[in-house]
Amino acid sequence: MDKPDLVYMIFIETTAERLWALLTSAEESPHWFFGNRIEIGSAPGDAYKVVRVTGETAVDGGVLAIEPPHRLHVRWDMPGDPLGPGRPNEIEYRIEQAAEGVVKLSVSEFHYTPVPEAWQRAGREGWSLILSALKTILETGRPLPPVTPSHPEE
Amino acid sequence: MDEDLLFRALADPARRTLLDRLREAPGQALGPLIEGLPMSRQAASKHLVVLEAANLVAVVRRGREKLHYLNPVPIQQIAARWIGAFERERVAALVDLKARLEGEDGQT
Repeated sequence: MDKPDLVYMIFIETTAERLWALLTSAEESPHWFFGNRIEIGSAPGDAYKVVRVTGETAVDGGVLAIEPPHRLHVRWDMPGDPLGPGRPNEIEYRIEQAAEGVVKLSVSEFHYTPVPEAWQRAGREGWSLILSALKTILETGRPLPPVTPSHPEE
Repeated sequence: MDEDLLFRALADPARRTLLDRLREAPGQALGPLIEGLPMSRQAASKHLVVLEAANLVAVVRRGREKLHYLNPVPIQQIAARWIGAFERERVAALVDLKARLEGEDGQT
């Protein structure tokens, strides 16, 4: 496999199964994904979609690999090709046992179409908030109150 | 998150330099990472162990290579501890990051 372009990582006191359930649940995803809803198939080749609160499709991608509860690799196709034409970028979630009762979640981005610095900056903040939200939900049983990521131009 | 590990890791200027370089060019092996720096491989390895323990650096193995990435997540968690509360009071609605990004021309 190619090397990832960016990697984000967090340790969470939970089980791989609970994290996997949260990560792949259409009903739960708005609590940790800025209100966005994730719709995901159960086999490679199935659809992977991110749907906004407005009902608009933000990501219209596909499942490349799915191995519950440890690995999910998706193609991140964006309608209208806002990054320009080319091979869509990909995201891989990996869940590993780190210690007794602790799992490590890592998110790797594979960029096949270059991602501008402003997007990368927003991504650093966005993924950090997403991973923190997953941790909070699993460790406290409550979602984080909404937090605004700062605007990438700031 | 072990905050003592995090703050200790960030307290060293050489380690902050390594983080700066990983932000500029993510996914570097040790050699390219320290090129041009007044730092031995041995010293850099020790610093990377500290950064990894603090979860500030993520390591990906590709064959024999060990690639290093800046992991900003613990820094965000620290920011949320002191800044987050104010943000949360100010903001009532969930925000759609992607929607805001699409309003951008994508340039810095």
